[in-house]
Amino acid sequence: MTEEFSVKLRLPREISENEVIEIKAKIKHPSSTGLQLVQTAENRYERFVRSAPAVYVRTVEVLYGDKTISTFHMNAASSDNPLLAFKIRAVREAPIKIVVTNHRKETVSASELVAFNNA
Amino acid sequence: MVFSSHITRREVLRMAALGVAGITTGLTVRPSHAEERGHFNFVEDSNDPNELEYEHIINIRLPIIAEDGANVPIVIAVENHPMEPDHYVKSIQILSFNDPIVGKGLYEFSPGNGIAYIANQMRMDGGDTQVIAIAECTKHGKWVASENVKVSLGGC
Repeated sequence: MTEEFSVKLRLPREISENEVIEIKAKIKHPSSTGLQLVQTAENRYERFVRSAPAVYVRTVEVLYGDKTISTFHMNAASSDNPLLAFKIRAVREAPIKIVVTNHRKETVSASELVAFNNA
Repeated sequence: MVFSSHITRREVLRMAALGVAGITTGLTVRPSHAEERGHFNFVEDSNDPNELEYEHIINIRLPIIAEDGANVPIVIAVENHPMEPDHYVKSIQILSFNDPIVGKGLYEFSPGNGIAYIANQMRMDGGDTQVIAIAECTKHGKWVASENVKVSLGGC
């Protein structure tokens, strides 16, 4: 199974020191609960049964400089190719790195530099 | 049903019992009382919160009607809360008890975030659903808020 798995980061164009900025991470990864709604003769009520293994993004770790500032634990309840947005306080010029791990424990990462425009 | 390891079955049952008790008796839980119990706190009236409640108001932004249950946008923020080394919002957990996957994610924060804020897109089952957000403060425990969404076409 060769699915595209990648992540891209987007930072605001202008960043001032000590400003709280929004960072967007576009994760390309399919997501599926693997559940199917079925109704059988024995059970007249519809219910979810597992028809396939779940496919999902497991964790997203956010590092600012060398320090982890956030960890997001996700599961198959997230959509396909989620666009995550979160905030950080830009206290210093340092790279922001995001490490994404999927259900098979494969990882991809992306990094962008937080640089102050008024420096 | 899938539960995150960060919320115990006992806590979920206690929260459900508190909710049912509140609805059936018309009583509301004051934060001070809830704090004594050491479990979940609520903002009694978001239009007239006291100082402690104001800090812990959880803003949940969801569409009123979501046409595609496979892609329901959600934004959760605890905007009034300080994010200082000794007092910050440690995590936000999203739950929906109507869905086959109850836990929708646990988002951990640190003072470096400046604000506890997360935007994501979720899969939800069709019908009327209550989305519950639990924000955990390092000093004042867990705070709960909820918002309703009507999903036209289930995405699970």
